[in-house]
Amino acid sequence: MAEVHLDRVGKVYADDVRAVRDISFAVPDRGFCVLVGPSGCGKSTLLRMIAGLETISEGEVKIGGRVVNRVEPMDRDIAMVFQNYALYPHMSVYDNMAYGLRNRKTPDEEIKQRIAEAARLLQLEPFLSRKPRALSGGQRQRVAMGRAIVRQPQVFLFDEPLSNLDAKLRGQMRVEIKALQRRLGVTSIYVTHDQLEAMTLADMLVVMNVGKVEQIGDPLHLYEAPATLFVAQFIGAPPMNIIELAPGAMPSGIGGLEALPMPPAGAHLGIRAEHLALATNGGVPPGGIRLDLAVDAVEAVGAETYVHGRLSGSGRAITCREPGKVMIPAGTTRAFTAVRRDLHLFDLKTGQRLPLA
Amino acid sequence: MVENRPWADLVSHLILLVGVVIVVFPVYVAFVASTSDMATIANGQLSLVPGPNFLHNYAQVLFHGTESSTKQPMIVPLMNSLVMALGIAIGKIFISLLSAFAIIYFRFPFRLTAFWVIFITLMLPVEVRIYPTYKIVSDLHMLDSYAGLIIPLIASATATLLFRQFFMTVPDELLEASKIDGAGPLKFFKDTLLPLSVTPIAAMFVIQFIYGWNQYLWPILITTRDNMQTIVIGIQKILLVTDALTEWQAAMATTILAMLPPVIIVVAMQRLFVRGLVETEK
Amino acid sequence: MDKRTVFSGKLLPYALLAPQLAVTLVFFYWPAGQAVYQSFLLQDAFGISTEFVWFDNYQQLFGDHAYYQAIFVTAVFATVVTVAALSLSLLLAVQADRALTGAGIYKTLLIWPYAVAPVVAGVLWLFMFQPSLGMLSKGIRVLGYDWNPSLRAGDALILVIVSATWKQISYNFLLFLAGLQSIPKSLIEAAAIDGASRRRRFWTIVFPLLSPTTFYLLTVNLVYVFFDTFGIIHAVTRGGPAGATTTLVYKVFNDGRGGGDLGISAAESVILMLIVIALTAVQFRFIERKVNY
Repeated sequence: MAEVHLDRVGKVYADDVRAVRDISFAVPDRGFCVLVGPSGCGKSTLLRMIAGLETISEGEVKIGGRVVNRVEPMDRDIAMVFQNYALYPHMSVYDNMAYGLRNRKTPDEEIKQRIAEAARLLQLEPFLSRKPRALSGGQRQRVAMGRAIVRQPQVFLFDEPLSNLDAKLRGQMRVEIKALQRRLGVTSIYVTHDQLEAMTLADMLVVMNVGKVEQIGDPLHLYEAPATLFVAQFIGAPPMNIIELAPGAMPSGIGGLEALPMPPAGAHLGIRAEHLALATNGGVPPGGIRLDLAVDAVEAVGAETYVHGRLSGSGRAITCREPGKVMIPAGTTRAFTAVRRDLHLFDLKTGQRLPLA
Repeated sequence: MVENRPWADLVSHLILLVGVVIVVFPVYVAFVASTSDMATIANGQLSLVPGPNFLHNYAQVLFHGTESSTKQPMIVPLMNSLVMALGIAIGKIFISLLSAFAIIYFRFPFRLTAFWVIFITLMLPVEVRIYPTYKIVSDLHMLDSYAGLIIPLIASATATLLFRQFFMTVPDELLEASKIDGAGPLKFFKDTLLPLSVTPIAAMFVIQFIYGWNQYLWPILITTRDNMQTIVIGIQKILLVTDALTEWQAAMATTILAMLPPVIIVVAMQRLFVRGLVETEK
Repeated sequence: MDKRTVFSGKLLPYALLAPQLAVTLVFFYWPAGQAVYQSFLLQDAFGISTEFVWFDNYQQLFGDHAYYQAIFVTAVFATVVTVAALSLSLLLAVQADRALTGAGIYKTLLIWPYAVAPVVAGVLWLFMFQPSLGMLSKGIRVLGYDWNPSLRAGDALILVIVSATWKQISYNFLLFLAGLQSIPKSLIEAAAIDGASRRRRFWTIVFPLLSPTTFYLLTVNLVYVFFDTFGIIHAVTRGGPAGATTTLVYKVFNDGRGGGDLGISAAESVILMLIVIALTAVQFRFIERKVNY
């Protein structure tokens, strides 16, 4: 059982700088957990604590039921794929993959076998005798993964492995990594700042911000029901439209606000771009809202069209997504509507999700 | 790394401390000797604590010279060393900047030949060609002169190499923008390249100053007059006297004086100069 | 070596190059050429007539016991100092590379001897090892050994070796430290996760990646021993006793002074030149091959 269990884990540096605060969650055996968040949110620090590359200031980390706080990285039965691959430049691909096994005195025959298998899985067979500098970025990335795979550890750790690849390659590798993990069935923890990667790879998504966990759950659940304003704006592209509704400073250009269960102190109203539809008539949908937008720019990308505009009156920027091609001249005004169940309300001060029942 | 072995840290500290002691001890001993009097030293009774004669010894060495040897007040050789070191540093930097600029930023016939002609000198320090160089200096009537001390030593290419490496890292776009702005080569050099090069120039200055200050073989060869000697040679002159009469305290004081300026510069400009040393490796 | 954009100048580049080329030609190539030429000459005792004798001077050198002694001394000197200076400084650099408190202070304290002239280093150690009043020689006497560098060849050699090594530790330390710090931390971490102990990490990952620096320092140290140690020898032992500390450079100096045989001295210079060129060529070859990561 290779479950990874974090219990109130925290990290404080020597100068009292706090990187991670009170993190608790459990990654099930064979699960693919993604830690996502902006730069500096503590996700890499957390990963490195699990790996043993950083000391754990508070709390406990358990791998496979064993507390590993004081255990050396090499004894935690983990393998890690680094952002810059960290391949040993003076060794061939074969030796790079064999290094860890040789250190553990694995017999040569077995080393050969494991490497052959990994090379087949990752299509590295033609490169085994080459040195890293003779490989492309994507190939090096595969070698880094190969090195992790042959170790047959309990847990794989990934530290932004795709950041250094171009967009197209990234898309390809994403699919491959997901398939590989499913096939090998090894518990994996993956760090990235890219929300798209997070959404597509995770069984279990952990959104982090300034050292704390904002929300944990299934990616689509986080998408449809973000628990905080931060998650709402971080997950999903383009980011969710957020309109601040403060008492006495209500933006104009919105119809239907009276019907919403607004707390007296005000709230953030959230609505995703794809849930805003061009109004077909002049009214407000029952229980929903209507936005009058002065259109600034229209981006037609083929399968859909993005309309960027500003709320008439208040100038708040809004993005709408319409399927297919839509022709709207810039500078005109158009109305968009959304229904009640696609709306989100967040507390003005705390950012916590408010019920819309 | 999690590896929490305070022992290992302790051992490291110990090793480093031992290293520091080995490095510092000889100088400390010299300093103690330079503040003691001759009799104490001659009797082998030098203590580990500085003696009382600091002012007396140093003043004597600087302004009066020693009794038994050349009677040369060391303030003069100190000045000579200063002139020589500054001359070499400035001279070398000046001609190297010009050469590196020419080679990198121009295309002209024999460019590569000039490059190799200059860089071959990297391989052979002055010690290898001392006597013929001496003859030339002598024929040019430059013996016993600052010019003779300085000019032959600015021939090597270390500074040119560093500046070349540095110029290679200056973005092409800067030159292109300059050209569009109507700047000719000299203007580009003065207005753009030089200000950018302050760091390597400063680093080179430190390195060349030390190189010039510490020269030994060359000054010995070409200076005969006592008042043209450099401080580094001054030490040796004091030691020339036979053992029994060697004024060790004066020799040590001179040694400390000879070490002081370069060491001060190195410590004060440590970051800069370290960078310069590391860059020349590449 | 090529910039994408350049200036086109007809006269300017030559004018810019002129100072360095002039100095180089007059004070480097001309003397070097002279040295080669003179090595084929034989001057009579009064320096009046010279005779072209082809390789006689070289033959004489290679039949001279003293010359072989100088080669031997230089070789011993070079090996011992290089090995000692490199190992000690590597050890210190590895310790300083660990993120210890006070690492910066150690660094400063270990670097400043770079500013010390070799001759000064020699004098410092000479003082401590002076047979009658040196602090350290007292200690040796206590152990029962009759330490006297002016009489015993071995002692003199040790004195010179210690001074030379001491002086060179800083530069090596600095460059080793820089080399160590240029190894990406993630490589070390990957090796740690891969099960390599600290010792294994050092020898299988760090040391191989340090090899460009090591090779470079090897050459620099050899050149240092060949040439820069002149000051130490001249001030401390004068090449004695009986040629025990006479290196090739010192011999060039000695053999040429005071109207001595310039032809022989020139021949020695030429041989030295060839040795250094060979060393540098070897370094370039090696570096070229091993270095590009």
